[in-house]
Amino acid sequence: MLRVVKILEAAICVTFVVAIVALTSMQIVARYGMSQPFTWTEELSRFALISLTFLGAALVTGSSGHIVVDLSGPTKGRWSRLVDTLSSALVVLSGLFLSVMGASKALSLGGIKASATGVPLAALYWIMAAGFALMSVHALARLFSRSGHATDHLRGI
Amino acid sequence: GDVSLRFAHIWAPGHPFQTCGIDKMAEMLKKADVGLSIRAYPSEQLGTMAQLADSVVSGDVDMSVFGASYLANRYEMMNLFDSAYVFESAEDASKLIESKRGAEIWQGLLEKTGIRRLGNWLYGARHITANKPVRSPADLEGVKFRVPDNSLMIENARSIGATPVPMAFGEVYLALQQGVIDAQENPLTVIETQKFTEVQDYVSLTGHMIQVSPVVVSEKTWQKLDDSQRDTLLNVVKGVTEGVNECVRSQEAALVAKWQKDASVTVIPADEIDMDAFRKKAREHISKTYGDTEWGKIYAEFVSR
Amino acid sequence: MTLILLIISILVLLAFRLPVALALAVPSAVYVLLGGFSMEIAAQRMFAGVDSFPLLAVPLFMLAGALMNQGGITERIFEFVESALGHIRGSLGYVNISASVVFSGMSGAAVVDAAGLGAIEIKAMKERGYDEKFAVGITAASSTIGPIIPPSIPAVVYAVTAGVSLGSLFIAGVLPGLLMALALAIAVYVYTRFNDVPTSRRESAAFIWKAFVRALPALMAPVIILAGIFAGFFTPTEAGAIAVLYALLVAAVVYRAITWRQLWTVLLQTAEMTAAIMVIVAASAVFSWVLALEQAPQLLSAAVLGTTDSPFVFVLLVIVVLLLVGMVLEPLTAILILVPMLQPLVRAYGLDPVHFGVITILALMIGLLTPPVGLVLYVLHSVSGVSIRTAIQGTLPFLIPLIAALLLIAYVPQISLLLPRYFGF
Ligand code: NA
Ligand code: NA
Repeated sequence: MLRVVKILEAAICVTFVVAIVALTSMQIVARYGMSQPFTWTEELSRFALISLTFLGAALVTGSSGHIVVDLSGPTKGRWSRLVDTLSSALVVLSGLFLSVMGASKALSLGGIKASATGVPLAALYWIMAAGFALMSVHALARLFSRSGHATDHLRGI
Repeated sequence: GDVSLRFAHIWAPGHPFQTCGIDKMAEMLKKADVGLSIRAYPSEQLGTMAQLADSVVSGDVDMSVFGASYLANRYEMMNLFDSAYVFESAEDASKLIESKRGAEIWQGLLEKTGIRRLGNWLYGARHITANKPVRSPADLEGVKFRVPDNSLMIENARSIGATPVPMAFGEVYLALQQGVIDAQENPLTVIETQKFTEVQDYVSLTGHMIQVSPVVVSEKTWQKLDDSQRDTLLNVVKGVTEGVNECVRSQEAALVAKWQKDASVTVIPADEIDMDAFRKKAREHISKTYGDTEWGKIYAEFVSR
Repeated sequence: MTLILLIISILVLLAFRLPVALALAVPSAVYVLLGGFSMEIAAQRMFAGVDSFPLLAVPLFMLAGALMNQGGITERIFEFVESALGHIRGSLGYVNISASVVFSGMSGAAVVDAAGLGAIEIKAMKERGYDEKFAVGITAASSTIGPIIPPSIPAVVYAVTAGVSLGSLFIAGVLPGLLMALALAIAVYVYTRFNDVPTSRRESAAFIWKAFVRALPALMAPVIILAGIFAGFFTPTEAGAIAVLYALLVAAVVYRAITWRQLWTVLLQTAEMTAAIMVIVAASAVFSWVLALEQAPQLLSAAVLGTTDSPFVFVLLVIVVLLLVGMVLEPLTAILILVPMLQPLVRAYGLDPVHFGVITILALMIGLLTPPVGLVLYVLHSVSGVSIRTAIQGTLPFLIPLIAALLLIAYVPQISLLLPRYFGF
């Protein structure tokens, strides 16, 4: 189940990266090749970046790639495991908390649409809320997994 | 009780909105002694215009001053004030803004968004910079014309005959210098502070948009104020309005005089521009494009007086 | 007082190895909630933090960098420069700096240099037997040249915020960027005098020529990017897309060094690295909103700057403040908050705003190398697997040449202003 979620996250995030390249390239081509350049590529590429950021935050939690300040080095032992467990638990709570923030913003926006593309702005905040919620799911899964990656998790992509 | 109002906007601390507007308001509020004070946040410190609109709605920012069309995705009617050639002059603008119809529009804004308008300050007219003189719509044919990423601004550009290229503000200078785009439009003060005159040969005083920016307060904040505080705030905003308008006008005049003197850029004055041709073309385009919308109808009606 | 509590809680969460993004966002969000602000504001600030067209350069130049890595482009640049310079003691130190100078002509951000070149530079240096700390240190330090030599994203933001000419600021960065390279090269030279460093054998002219031809398509990348920008075919941000397409062309068609599976891996890597960095940008936007709200930077600098009427001392104070601020704030955010406030002082002390822009950007770039919020360190940690602690220890000595270059640039305005004046800005 979680595997499917991870594959989906990866596929969607890669799609956003490809979209950013495609949209930015189209913007250049359209300026030379057409009498009326596209007026929506800029906004859409920004939205792709925003979606990539927040959904990617979940993806990165799943692959233990978040940037952390790790001054302790790769220490093993009970203390380190305790810190890891605590950290994962904090990620679960933080993800839920920020997800609620994102959802409340989405709800407050109603049907307001982006100027150039007509994309409902609430949709982007739902992506933010979903990204943070999935972050919690990944952290929760780690908390209950016994596969023993406890010491090197959250340490680089 | 005592209320400190967070007044946030996007302009630099030296902009007339700050120096002739907010700073003066702060003085007057202090003198009035009704338990109101102002804390100013210029220069996008608390967010861009679109973000500040969000924050005024949610009450996280108490007051702001806007380009009207930035409120349009919440209340479409606001497009009316930033549409091409809707007004002939700043005086003409206040005829609509302060009319009975104007009052209905501001009431609509309040009901739709929770943003209460207290007054309007003159932001200035938008003019065109290019590497050739622009005297009629024909001069803009095929010209790659930078606009903010906003559907009304795109149509405004089309309405005066240009080819709109939406582009982020921060990229404009280099894009002009390198010829990625040919022209752009902005108020004179922006043209000066962004040094567009360094990379463009002509400023044509088309004045295709005369912007009079609504000064607003969050309804959430307003409901916390007592009657005397409300009266005072309203009076203070109105009280500084003429001063702000005067500051903007004298700044614009000084800029034109400076450019004419130092010849950093050639100024094409309004009387050398075929305004009738611009107005006719723009008004036809806007009336046709937005004919189905409520504001489009008011536009058509107002410009055909 | 409450602001100090906020900063302490951020530091505590960082110590418990919470991801930096969460350690910044959550306490800041709690702070605004307790301060009576709406539930929505934290989400809005995170959104606003990444809702910026120039930031698209981050995934674009990262992808270009990853493709150059995967497609053997960066390697060939290295092979060529190393074949030419290899017989010099500590050659890869100089190669590292030269590569950053070349790359800075196509990159506008230090993190992009670190992400694009960093992995291959550190890998190559470790393989040749260089000390890991030295490798990561010179890589981190040289990455800060990227946003000094044009194009530069911080320069765009500074020019807009301070109301100075972007063209002038761009061109003002050329000589300071080269001076930084020189200062770092001197540091490498000093290091090689006191440490045992590997040296390769001298190669024949024919060998160097062969390496040059092999690297030519790769060496053309910055030429195409810079010529494209300055001939007006595309904007600096759009140049990122051109860099991606060109790298893909060279990797897939010219060098035939990339498979579909590898392409997928590169795309996924780019998505993850972008998200890991951008989510911090988003989170720091909440934190910096709180700082702006409490007018913390203004209070801080009013206290510091109200003490002198000497421009000499003022510039020194500003540099100290910027270096300190750079430790906790991401540069663009710091520019947006501090620059409007410093402008009146810049005028009062009679300094040139373009010159001041170069100082500001360089000082904040050094902040990318200093913990707790040092994005370049995190990026290098991400792309090379070097521990953050090693990255910090390795980078520390290279702050000396960078700060020396900064002081020289600060007190000899001609270094920055010669070219803009020559070109008539
Ligand atoms: Na380097
Ligand atoms: Na650069």
